[in-house]
Amino acid sequence: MDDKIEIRKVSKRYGSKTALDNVDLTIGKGMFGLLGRNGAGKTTLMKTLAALHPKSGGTIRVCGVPIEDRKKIRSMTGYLPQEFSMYPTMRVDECLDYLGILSGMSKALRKERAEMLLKKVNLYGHRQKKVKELSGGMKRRLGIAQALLHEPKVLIVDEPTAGLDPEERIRFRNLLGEVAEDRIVILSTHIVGDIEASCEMAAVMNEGKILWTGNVKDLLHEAEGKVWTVTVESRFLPQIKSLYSVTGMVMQGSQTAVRFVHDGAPDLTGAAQTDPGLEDAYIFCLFKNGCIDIGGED
Amino acid sequence: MLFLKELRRVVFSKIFILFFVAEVFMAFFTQFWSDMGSGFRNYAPPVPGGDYGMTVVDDPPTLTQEATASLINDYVNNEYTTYPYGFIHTVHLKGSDKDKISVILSKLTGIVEIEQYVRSSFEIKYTYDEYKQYIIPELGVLNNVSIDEFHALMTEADKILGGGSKYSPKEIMYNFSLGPKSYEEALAEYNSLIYDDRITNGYARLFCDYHGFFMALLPVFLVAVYLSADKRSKAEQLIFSRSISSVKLAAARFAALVTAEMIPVLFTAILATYRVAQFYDPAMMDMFAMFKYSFIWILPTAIAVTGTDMLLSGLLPAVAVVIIQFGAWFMMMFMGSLYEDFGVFDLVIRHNTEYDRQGFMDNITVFVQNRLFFTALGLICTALYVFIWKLRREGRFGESKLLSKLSLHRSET
Repeated sequence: MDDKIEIRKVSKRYGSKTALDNVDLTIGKGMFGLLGRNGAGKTTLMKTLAALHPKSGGTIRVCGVPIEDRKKIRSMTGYLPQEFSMYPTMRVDECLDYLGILSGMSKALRKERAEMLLKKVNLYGHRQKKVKELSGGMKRRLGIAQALLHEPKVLIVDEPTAGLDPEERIRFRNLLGEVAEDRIVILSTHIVGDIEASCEMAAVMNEGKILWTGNVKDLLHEAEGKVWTVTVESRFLPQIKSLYSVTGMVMQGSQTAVRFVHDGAPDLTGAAQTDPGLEDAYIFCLFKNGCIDIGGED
Repeated sequence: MLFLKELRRVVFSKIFILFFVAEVFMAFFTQFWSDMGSGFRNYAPPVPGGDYGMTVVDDPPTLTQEATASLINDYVNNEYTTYPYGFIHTVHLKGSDKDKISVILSKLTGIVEIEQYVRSSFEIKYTYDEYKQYIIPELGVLNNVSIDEFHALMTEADKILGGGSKYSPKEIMYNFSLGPKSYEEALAEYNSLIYDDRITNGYARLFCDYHGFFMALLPVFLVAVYLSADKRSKAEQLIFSRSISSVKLAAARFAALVTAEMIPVLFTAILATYRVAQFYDPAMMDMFAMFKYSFIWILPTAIAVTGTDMLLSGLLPAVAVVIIQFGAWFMMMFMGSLYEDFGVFDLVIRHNTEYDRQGFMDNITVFVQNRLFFTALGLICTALYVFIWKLRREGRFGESKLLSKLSLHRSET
């Protein structure tokens, strides 16, 4: 059985709205990042891969299994939805036990897996707590534990770090990195830092289309020579924003250090090239594909 | 295992505690238990020369005389009290409808100008609410009007009045054909309770009468709150993504809900048996009667209400399900009779007495058909719920405009 997900010309329409437009992707073992702004179609793609949404066209095979074989897909997929929660009065260990039953696991296996996973996600000491007593970060870790409970080949994680504090976010990313060693993990996010810190392969989505896919290093490589910095008087900022895609600004008294992407030499005295970060590369990708109006507005 | 998990989730929920308390107090303590201690029931055999209450008698002359006189009074006053859908309603007829009643009265009495005739021929007495009552002692129906024709004319009058009047086939006997119960009848009834029903079988019908009344409503709160928990807790997508079959999960939840609904019934069945034993010789009692009747009488109600409420919960938000069920229950309650006057399609079966075994047995075929019908209805509704739940799980429900309008569970984009 292939250890990859093949998505070919997949589309999804809601009436006249196209949520996925001819999506073509191949996702192999390890962490795969799906980057895009809110409303780009990431959640729709995640739900389609988790057999929670039917596609309107195209084909999807998960480890060789067609997506239409929902029962099999569900048994080999772990899903952490964007808004993960469980019954508030249920205890952490009860949650895993209940979801384990819904995954058709035996009592002994449920007990063994739940204990192991709760230790792995640092929730073992909190296993008697009710879901409503967990912090946001603890809930996400419980989310990962439940998604891994039935040892899925594929883990689909939708916007898992939104709303987490920096420490929890790092801890969560490291956890995902650990579990990605022997399975396919798809991480959907609009936070570039998550992709930069944890994914080797990624895709950029916008308005239901895949704009770019490949190794994250290649995305950076494509932005080389396109990222510039310049320090200008703050009063010129509106003009600069109207001409270039600004990715950063640092105020320094009456002056502002501006970072922007531009294909070619900018007509700006003192502008100097600089090494691109992934955020610059992402913005350049959107800019290059005509997804950003100059001025920083969509 | 899944059934036990679901049952545990139901019975440890706050809504179940409320359901349990409501069912036990409303259907049992304030009705059956307090009835038994109030002296309202007779625990001793009747003695000759006593008052044994009233009963419906087969006395066509009394029926036709009383009912016709009542209709004449209502016609001359042009004021009819009816109970369509259970609510009191005063009807004042105009034009052709008024004339139609006049024609009916002419057929019954042979008098053409009935209003003039009554006003000129009979004295008036006023009732406490200023209602003019004409004293019509001798006026009867024409000799050539048979009892069947009489019933047909009264049914027609009821239709003109919009239904729910005391002239309807359902009500006419209780309003105009009552007579005192004889000692022999009272004794036969008592003996039937003691020997045929072995006491508790008679009381079990009364017990089920009360429980059936509330079981037709209260489960909706349990079902609606329980089934909306997935969405309320934002756990729905998570549940959808597991590999369990839709049929298995829905069946486990249905079974858990029905089992939970029967807990207060079976609990009070124990108390009811104990309560009856305080007034009769336990050696003569059927100790399992309350439980037997609970299963054949109340369980089908629980199945029907749970199934239909599950189906509605698949289509509508919880609050709408409660409102619909409450409305349906309210109408059923006030349209029905207290006694064994029920049909195959009446969810609530009334038999508000520990006596009248014969009346119940006379209707046993309808009772069995009724209970089978509602059991089947509940199961069919549950099957439809599974179908809708499966569509929602696959993201297919809510895509069509019609279903989108019906459902609040819309797909995300």
